[in-house]
Amino acid sequence: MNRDELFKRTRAILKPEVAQQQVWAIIGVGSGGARVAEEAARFGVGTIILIDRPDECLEEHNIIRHVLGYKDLGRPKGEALRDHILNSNPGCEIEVISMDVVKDRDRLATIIRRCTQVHCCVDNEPAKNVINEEAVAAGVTLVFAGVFDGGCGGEVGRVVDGGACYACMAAFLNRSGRFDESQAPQTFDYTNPDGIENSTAALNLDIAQIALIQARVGLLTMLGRHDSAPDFKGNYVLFGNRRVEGLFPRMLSSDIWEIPRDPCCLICGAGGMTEAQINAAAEDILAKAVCSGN
Amino acid sequence: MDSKRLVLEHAAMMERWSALEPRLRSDASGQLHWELTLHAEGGNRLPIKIVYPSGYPSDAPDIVALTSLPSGTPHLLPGNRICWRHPSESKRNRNIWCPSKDTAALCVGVAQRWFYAFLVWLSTSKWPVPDAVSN
Ligand SMILES: [Zn+2]
Repeated sequence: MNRDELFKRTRAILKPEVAQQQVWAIIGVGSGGARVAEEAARFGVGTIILIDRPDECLEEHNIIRHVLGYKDLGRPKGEALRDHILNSNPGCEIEVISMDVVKDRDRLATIIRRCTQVHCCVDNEPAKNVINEEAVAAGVTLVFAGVFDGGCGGEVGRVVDGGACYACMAAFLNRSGRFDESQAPQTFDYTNPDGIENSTAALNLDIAQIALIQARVGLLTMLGRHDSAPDFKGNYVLFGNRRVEGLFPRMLSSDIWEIPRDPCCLICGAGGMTEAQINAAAEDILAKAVCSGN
Repeated sequence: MDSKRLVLEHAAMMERWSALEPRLRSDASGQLHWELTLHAEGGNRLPIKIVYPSGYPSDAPDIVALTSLPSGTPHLLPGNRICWRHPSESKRNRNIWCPSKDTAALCVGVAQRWFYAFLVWLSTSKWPVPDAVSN
């Protein structure tokens, strides 16, 4: 590998020396996460930590919308993705970690503290909430994304230290009435005709479109573009792959919002107390709880 | 649960439900739960505990009835747990558990509502509210 030659066509835009210092965790290496990881390697990110659930192997039904293919059928996705990425940037340091982020919080926290940014590419709320909590606690930038039902569009959010966290944004989006995912068309999951829908039915390009926006937000973050920069003023991108009545006025419509931090947020808010006051009050509560329990 | 969350949980519970004299308890493993008794007309009472799971606050609390309930009670999960959440809530939807806003104090209101519905069911054999999900 000749590093100068590899980055010859991108060096004018992005200095590989800057990207080399970055450590990105990609949590969830399905269709979306795998693409974010692939782009990160092409930016020249020095260390990429791929995190997936234990025993998460590439199955045949994954292939049609994944960067991996038949060559890797049956292999753990993280390991196969590492090989795939190294093929386009052999200089990238890649760690593959198999874990359940919801059950193994302490380990997740340790990993996140090492990172310059975390990409949440999982599709269930408990895992998103756990990742949010740990990123907020560590003060590490979190970029999350989601593809809406049917792949009609999606969202990408960025949580920076001191800004609205994922929980603030989720509460704002759900309860403000400003946005309701149920407006998106409901789809039938043809891969599972007898059961409850277990995965968003979407085409490869629908997912890739959102994943590339997620990678772009990661790139802007790496380049130090924060809320005051004109190229990304806001913290939440809404993107419509297709026209959806009441949600996306036309195909490829996009919007960038600045979702405010909720000062009363139980995750990122301080509750109006100093750390010393919090610790003293918690100690008092716990002491009384133990007494009354025994 | 971190210290800040614990303090905010305690404050929220006392602010809304101190009349029910909720008591925070800790079991041998350090898992925290609230114990309190719900009251309804006719002297009916339902003692409950609201348990903070290990994944709290990403995971919502469990509401457990501390008295044996008749077999066939609707909307009751194994372990005497009151069913109060929709199975589809692994996706973000309206009115799901929201860790940035909700505390165990929310569960007291939920349990109270379940208790009223249960009493109606006892006398009419019909569950009067549509939104709880049958086991
Ligand atoms: Zn927040």
